[in-house]
Amino acid sequence: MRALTAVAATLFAILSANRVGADCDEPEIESTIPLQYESTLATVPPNATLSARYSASAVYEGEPIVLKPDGMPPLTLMGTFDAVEGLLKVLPPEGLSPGRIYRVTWPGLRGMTGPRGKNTVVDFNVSATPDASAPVFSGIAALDWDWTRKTDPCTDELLDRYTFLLTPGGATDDGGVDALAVLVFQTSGPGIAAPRLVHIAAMPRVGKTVKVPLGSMQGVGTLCFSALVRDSQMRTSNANTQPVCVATTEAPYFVGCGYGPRSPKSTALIWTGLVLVGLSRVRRRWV
Amino acid sequence: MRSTERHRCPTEKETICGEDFQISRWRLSIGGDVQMSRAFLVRVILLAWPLVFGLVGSCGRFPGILAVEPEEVPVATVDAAPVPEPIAVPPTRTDAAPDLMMMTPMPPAPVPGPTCMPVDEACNGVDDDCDGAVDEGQSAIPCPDGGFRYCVDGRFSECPRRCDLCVPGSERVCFIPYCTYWGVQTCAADGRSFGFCREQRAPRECDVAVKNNMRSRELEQCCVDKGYCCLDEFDLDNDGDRRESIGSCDGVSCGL
Repeated sequence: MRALTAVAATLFAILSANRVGADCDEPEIESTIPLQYESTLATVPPNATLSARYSASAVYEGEPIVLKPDGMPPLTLMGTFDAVEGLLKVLPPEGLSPGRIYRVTWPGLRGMTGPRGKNTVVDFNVSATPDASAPVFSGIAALDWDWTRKTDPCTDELLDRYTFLLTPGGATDDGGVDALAVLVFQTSGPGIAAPRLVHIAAMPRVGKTVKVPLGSMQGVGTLCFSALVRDSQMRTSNANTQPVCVATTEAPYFVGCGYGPRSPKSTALIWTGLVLVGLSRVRRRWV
Repeated sequence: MRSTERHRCPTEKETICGEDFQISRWRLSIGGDVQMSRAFLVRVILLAWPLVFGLVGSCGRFPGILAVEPEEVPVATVDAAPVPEPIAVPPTRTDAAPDLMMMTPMPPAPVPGPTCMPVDEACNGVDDDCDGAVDEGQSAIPCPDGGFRYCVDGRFSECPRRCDLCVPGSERVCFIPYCTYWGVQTCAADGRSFGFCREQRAPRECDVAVKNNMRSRELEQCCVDKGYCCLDEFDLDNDGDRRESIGSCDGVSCGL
């Protein structure tokens, strides 16, 4: 009987210790260049540097990047990691063969305080024209915003976020637009003294938006954004694009004394504990 | 007998200051035995000038400058009668009469701008090298910890940070107004905020501060002194920011 109770208590303690989500600080791959499209393959120039952007706390420990040309054995490459931008880059040493299809496997990276994330696979095509000149970009064409509210895996609480939806204007580059990255800067708003890089993502296809999340303190008020594009050779478009502004209001949510709705994880934890305690009592009666 | 008639010509569309205007040209016909002198016409034009201003004189930078092309009018006797108001001209007409005014916008006089003195292009929102492009060719500046500063809207961006506010999953000490006066808050998964302050028992080394001062500046000072990363609720560094982290915050704050 004591043994059963001890097992139940131990299980409960283990589950309690992991109450903060197991996926807290599991770095995601937020964007890759090129992107993986469902319908058609992205096309990059033969001299492209491939890159993947990881979430904030990713740590690169030399995990290999696997590049497999279609019909040929895979290449295992080491990347260079810029922890500030969260950008893992790799330049194939022999370049990419025009007209060939490749598959790159980006490794899941470990977080500073969390587990390793998941791999991401991207297939792409290679064009014949190398990227030789800087891209041209007309700036942000449209801007909208919204609230989101979801349970955070680290805090196990509902957290508010502002999401800004930016529609990039036209962009051209001799290496093609699939190898372009959009760099979004916040140029005014709470706590902004100089333009701040708030997001990097692959250039979306026409009509698609770039989602820029901001915290509840950073996202309220009148905010202005500007954007550049960067090609696979790290050249940026002209800096003279007009910022686009939007006024937001505070989220109409009341945060009351921490007694918000429980997350499914907390509820499952409580039910697990109750079931174990119940089982131990039933067992005691039988004994 | 003097017989004059004003009649309205078919409306014509003219472009003035880049916009289309429907301009009705008024024709003053002089019929019968009455003829008007050139002096009379000039006076009429002068009197009509404010009306013309009213019609097209609000064209932005160029007040209504209209070329009045005097028509050749047969010289005749000078009429001693008072100069009629242009609008009040009695209506009499003769088809052969010439147009009194031809309203043709004059092209704006070229305004000499300041001479562009080319210098090296800088990130300042100005066309420094006088090539018609602004801030072109500004290279990104590498930052010491990684990332770059980019020229955006006439200014260089600040060096990027690894995260907005805190390292995901990291914790800092916070202070609550009841029971233990000590708590911990966890950084969200996206590093953009901390969660709620959850009460915990204060470490033994800060027991005295808790007992004597409760939730206080002294307790925060103890937190900092004992090597924790702490919410600067009491602004120990006097920078006015009570939401920042202070103390041993490696692995919590967003610097590398």
